[in-house]
Amino acid sequence: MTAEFFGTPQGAYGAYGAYGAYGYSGAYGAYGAYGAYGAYGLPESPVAAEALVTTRDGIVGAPLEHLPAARPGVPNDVQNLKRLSREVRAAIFAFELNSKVEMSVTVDETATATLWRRVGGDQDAARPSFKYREMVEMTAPRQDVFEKQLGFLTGYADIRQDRGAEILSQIAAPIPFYQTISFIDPARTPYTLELLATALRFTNYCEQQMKYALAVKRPIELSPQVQPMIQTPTHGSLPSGHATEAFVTARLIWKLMLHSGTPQYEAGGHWGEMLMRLASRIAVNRTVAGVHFPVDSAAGAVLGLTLAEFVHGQCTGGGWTTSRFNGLCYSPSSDFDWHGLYVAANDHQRVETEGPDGVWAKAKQRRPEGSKAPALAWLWNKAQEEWVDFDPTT
Amino acid sequence: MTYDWIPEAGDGPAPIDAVTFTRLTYGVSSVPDTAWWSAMIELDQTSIAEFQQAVAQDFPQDLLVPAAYDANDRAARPERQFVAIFARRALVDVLNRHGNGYGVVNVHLGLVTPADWLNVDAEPQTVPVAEVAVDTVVTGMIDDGLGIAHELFRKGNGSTRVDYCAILPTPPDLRDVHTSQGRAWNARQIDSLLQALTWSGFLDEEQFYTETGQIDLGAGKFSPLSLQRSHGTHVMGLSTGYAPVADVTTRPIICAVLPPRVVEDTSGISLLPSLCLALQMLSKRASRFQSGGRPVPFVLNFSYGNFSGPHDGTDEVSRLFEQFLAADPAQKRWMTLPAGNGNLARSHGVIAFAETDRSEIELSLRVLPDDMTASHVEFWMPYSKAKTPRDFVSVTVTPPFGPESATVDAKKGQKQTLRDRKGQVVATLLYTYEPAPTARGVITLAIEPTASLSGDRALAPSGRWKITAKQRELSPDKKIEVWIRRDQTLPGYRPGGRQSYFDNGDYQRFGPFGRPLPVDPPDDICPVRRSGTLSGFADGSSPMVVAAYTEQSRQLSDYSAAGPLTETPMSPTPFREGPDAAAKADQSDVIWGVLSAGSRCGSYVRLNGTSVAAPRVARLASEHIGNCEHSAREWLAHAVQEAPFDLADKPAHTRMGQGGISIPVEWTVGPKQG
Repeated sequence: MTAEFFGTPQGAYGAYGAYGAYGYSGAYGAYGAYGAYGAYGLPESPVAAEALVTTRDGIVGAPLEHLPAARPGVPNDVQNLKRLSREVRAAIFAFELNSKVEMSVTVDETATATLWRRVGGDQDAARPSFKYREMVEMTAPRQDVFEKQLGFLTGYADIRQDRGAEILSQIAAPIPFYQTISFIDPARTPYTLELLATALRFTNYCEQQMKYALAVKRPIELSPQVQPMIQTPTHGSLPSGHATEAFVTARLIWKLMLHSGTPQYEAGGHWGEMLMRLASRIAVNRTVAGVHFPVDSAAGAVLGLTLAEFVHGQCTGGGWTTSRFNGLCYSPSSDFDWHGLYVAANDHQRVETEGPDGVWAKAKQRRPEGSKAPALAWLWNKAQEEWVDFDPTT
Repeated sequence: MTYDWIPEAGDGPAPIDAVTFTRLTYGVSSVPDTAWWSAMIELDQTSIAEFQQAVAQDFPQDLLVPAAYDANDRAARPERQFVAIFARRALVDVLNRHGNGYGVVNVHLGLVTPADWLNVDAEPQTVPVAEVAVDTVVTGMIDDGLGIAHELFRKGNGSTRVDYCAILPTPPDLRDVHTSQGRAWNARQIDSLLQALTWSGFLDEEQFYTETGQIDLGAGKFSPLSLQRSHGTHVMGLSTGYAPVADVTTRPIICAVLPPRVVEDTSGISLLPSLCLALQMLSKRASRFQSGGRPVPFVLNFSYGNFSGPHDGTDEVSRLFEQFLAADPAQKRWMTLPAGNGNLARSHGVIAFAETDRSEIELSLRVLPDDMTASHVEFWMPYSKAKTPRDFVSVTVTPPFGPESATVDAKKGQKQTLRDRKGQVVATLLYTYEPAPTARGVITLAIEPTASLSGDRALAPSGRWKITAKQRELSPDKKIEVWIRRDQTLPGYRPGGRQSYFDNGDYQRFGPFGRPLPVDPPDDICPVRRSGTLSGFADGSSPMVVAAYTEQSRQLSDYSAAGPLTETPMSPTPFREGPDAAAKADQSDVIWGVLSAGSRCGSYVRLNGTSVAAPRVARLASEHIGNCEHSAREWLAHAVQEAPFDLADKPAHTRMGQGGISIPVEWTVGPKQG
């Protein structure tokens, strides 16, 4: 049996077993290749193999001649995807996404990491060659910003008793929380789940590299009084992986809903707003827990919103966004406020985000560049179909 | 660790308030002298202006009278008046002495107020009149976390019903030159904030409460509003919550947010001075609502209680409420208060020698370990207007691991301190005299914290403190009433205080079938009593005091505190026997509490206690105050007859007053006109 694999776990503890609730029930597992096989009641075991061997011996008969010819496989064609197990597809999607990015790091007053996006070039040429354009540039704040933000850790610690259940439930990928807003279910929206898992694996790939590059210390290393209510993950503090992933998830679901042609999703922006409120809550809960500074969530939201746009662009050939997080201008007194970064109603990242110490985030919409990734486009279309409502008049 | 009792000579003139004295003398050495303390003073035949003038000569830098007192207030010279002030330690210490020369006859110390919460340049103003519909009733609320954005406090078009919200624990908006402490928001400002922070129909409430000053997590400040359940929001929902669909426009809300309790001050903080200031601010604001040149009625709910005080109607809180209710003679003002939840708290003792042949009575005080705040026990002597009251009883105290103290009599100048091996004071036993109209002596046992995270804090031993009261001149018909001050940590707050209680072996806690006994057993000889636990705030003559019942079992809730009051000749017929009536506070023994507003829009949570019974009555009262010619309590007695809720086992009047009352709360239905 297999459950959807949502990438390398953020926490490295609960694992994205996340999905746990469904995995255990088997509903989702039944979808997987092994699960399906298992469903027929033949476990993989020496006994089963022996049974297959003796069966063949019993019925194989003499070699046939003049068998009708089979067609060759269709190379590099998305038709094949539906015949692949989800694990195999996951590798193909991961290749399409991971191969499109690169990272560089410079160290000045603090570290700056830039996530580059591959553009142009001819993928089908005998020897590919590409250019890269900046997609996300992230500069770590000075150390004193984190020291001053310890005040938030103290204030937020007081509400741990209220948030304990949420925090523990959100250590792994908190898909069930999104399911309370958007109608996601393994039976109803299997491809949406696969798309989200794909996006989250890619997000984790990027965010861990970003954390590694910036090497920001966790609250627990700055004060012995934070005493987090969960274990502190070993990776860096900024950007918050939970914030990054939460905003990727929220924005991708929102895009599916927004482009579904379903009236209640399209007008008013209510679902989008609620998805972002949830993403923000998940991010803030990590500060309540004592493992993140508010500025980590701000950086994570910038990264997550931008990566969601990138994934969407890869899937649809649509536009993308370049963004900049400048921690040197992030005021220590600023709590995390996602409204400063993004307007859900029109799915738009703000051009500039200013705090008491200046502009600390920028974003710019870019026109489509390059074609869509074929396998991802296939997945997106499947997922998008799951959100198209039926017309009662036809 | 060994301890020794040391008799103390009086240091200068005798202190007026024992708790203020012990806090300033022993409890707050780490607080700098320049800190601003909130304090409530009582002036005797002295105007505020005269007081200010006199103080200015000796303490030019040490007094701040809030701008909420306007020119008329400052010029008036009533016989007695309570005034909220901010003052520095040197001044408070002088004011808290008999014969201080400034006209101050009583002092109640509050808490250290951060300087950045104060606008020392604020000036008084005259609040502009607002012309309102004739059926308007102003509804008021004071608490420590008010979710004013909740939809229950909005009109049909989503705009706020809150006309005024004073948030005391936050830095002022310096553009507002009329507010001395915190920020005051009016309806226009609240509406523009609501509008600016609403996205796709959803209000960003984290931002909203951060902007209003109620949430400031970056400063490490705790706000109950950050929790799912906040006392003030819940209670305000019951007293004046109506869904927008009801489009209620005749119930403007004026409210004030008190500072949250902070445990950094371990000497036993008090919110009373903040309450005094809040009442003054709301009083000024309430009078502005007028119809045809007359102020419309005002109903205020205040769902707080405490355990201490003389419980005879003459205490400072009750008189403060009377001062507030009478402050605008043109405006009809009613008030609801909870009866208190201390029925089973074992916080009250009675010392009377008539019932037995005993000549001494012992109380076992259980002081808990890990109690980070001071504990206070007060022995209230009988009323005595004699210049030198009789020596009614003497008290000795034997701490765990220490010797019995020398006797402290109910006589001026009597004082003993318990010192540890380093000579630090860990407990004080002293006699003070609470002046008229209370006119009672008080022997106070003040015990320092039993735990501290700071290494240099003097710590008292936890365990059983034996308190022995010996008969002196207490006549057979008189009693000494004993109360332990409330000291526990409320749900949601940082752990700090732990409530001490009387742990006498002959106190019968449980009745048949193991149920807690909600009333004292007949012929009980135990000095620890359930009767007389009524909140120390709830003994005044005018407020409606409300007990709690459990709907399904039709029983008074076990915790609901009871009368009677302590007798005093100052009110020949006692003001009350106990609460005035009982209202719903629990659904059943299993489903505790009642539903009302949670901290965020759209959320509804459970809360119980007499705190949630009182606002139910306030809700109904606001429908009747306009057309009722009687007093609030007379109206309530009548209202109980109109909508009785029969309680099982016929509880005594001292527990339920006139009886249970059934008050439906339907958010979507607007107020009826009584």
